[in-house]
Formats: sequence, structure tokens, C-alpha cells
Amino acid sequence: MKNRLRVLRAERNWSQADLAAQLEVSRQSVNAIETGKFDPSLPLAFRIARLFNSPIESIFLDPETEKPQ
Amino acid sequence: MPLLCRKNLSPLQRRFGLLFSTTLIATSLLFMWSYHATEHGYASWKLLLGFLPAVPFLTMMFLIPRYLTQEKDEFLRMLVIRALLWGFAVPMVVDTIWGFLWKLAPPDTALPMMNVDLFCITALFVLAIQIRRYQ
Repeated sequence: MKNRLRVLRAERNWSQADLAAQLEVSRQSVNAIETGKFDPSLPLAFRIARLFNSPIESIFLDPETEKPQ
Repeated sequence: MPLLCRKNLSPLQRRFGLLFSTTLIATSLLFMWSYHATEHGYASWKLLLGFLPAVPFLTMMFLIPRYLTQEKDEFLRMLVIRALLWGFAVPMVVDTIWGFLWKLAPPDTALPMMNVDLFCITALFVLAIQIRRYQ
């Protein structure tokens, strides 16, 4: 699943390690989520949304709506 | 163990890493001792000597679910489960091939004795590769 995690992190000048520390996960997890290789569970997605103070759907892009019309 | 030397390991990962290493070393030592004992006249204790190297492995099977329950990082949980699956798959593949070879021409070495070691080595190797892959 595509997401805006890398962009949101860059806006705050956070490294992957900074974000990982705030989410209490490993840096590898952040990397895997950012590159779309791993989809986080709902609790982790909510934690990410809370951290960036944004709704989940503005961070994680729905693959259905991404399709060309 | 390079996996255990990482600075960013959580106390839980470090603790369980040490426990796994200890059980791995215990398996190897007990295996060597049992192998030596069966070769040198303790044949009457065959069953016990055969079972002994498997004890640390059974301990490991008890520890792994505990680790998976306590590990908060779901991505790492997935990597560990994937590594364990590889750990089970590789000895099974090797045993299957070995079984056919054994049927054709029985080799001198009983390779299935090494299944525990093969499991541990494969699982650790796969885990290390996966962690490196997501660096």
C-alpha cells in the first residue's frame, strides 16, 4: 500500500530512526512501511496518524481510488 | 553473534537472543557429547542419548512463542516467523533428498541428527539476511 510517510517525515526533518523511536518500532519497520513492502496493522496505523496529527486515509492511500478513472 | 551485537536491540530482543544462543550452544554440546558417548560404549542408554540433544531445541520451541507474544514490533514478528518457516523448510528438503539417497545407496552419515542445528542455522541466517535487506 502506498503512503505519504516519507513525505511527512521529511517535512519534520525526522530520520527513520527518529520516527521509529517515537512509534516504538524498529527502523527496519519504518523502512518497510515507507517503501510499501509492509502494511502496518490498524493499531500501528492509528499510532502513525496520531503522531502526524492527520487522518489515516490522508497518510495511507487507498489502492482502489488510486486507479485511473 | 552479529545479530546480538547490534546497538539498537531492545532489552527483550537482547534477552531472548541470549537465551536462543544459549540453547543453540547447549544443543551443539549435548549433540557432541551424545555422539561421543554412543560411539564409546554407552549403547544401553541409546534412547536417552538420542533424546538429550533435542531437549534444548524443545526449550527453544517454548521460548519462541513467548518472544512472539512479547515482541511489540509487528514487522519484526513477521520477519521472525518467516525465518522460522525457512528454518523448518530447509531441514525437510534436505531430509527428503537424503531419504531418497539413503534408499538408493545408504550413506555413512545419518544427516537427520543434524536437523536441529540445520534449523537454527537456517533460521538465524534468513533472519540476518532479512534484517539487512530492510536496512
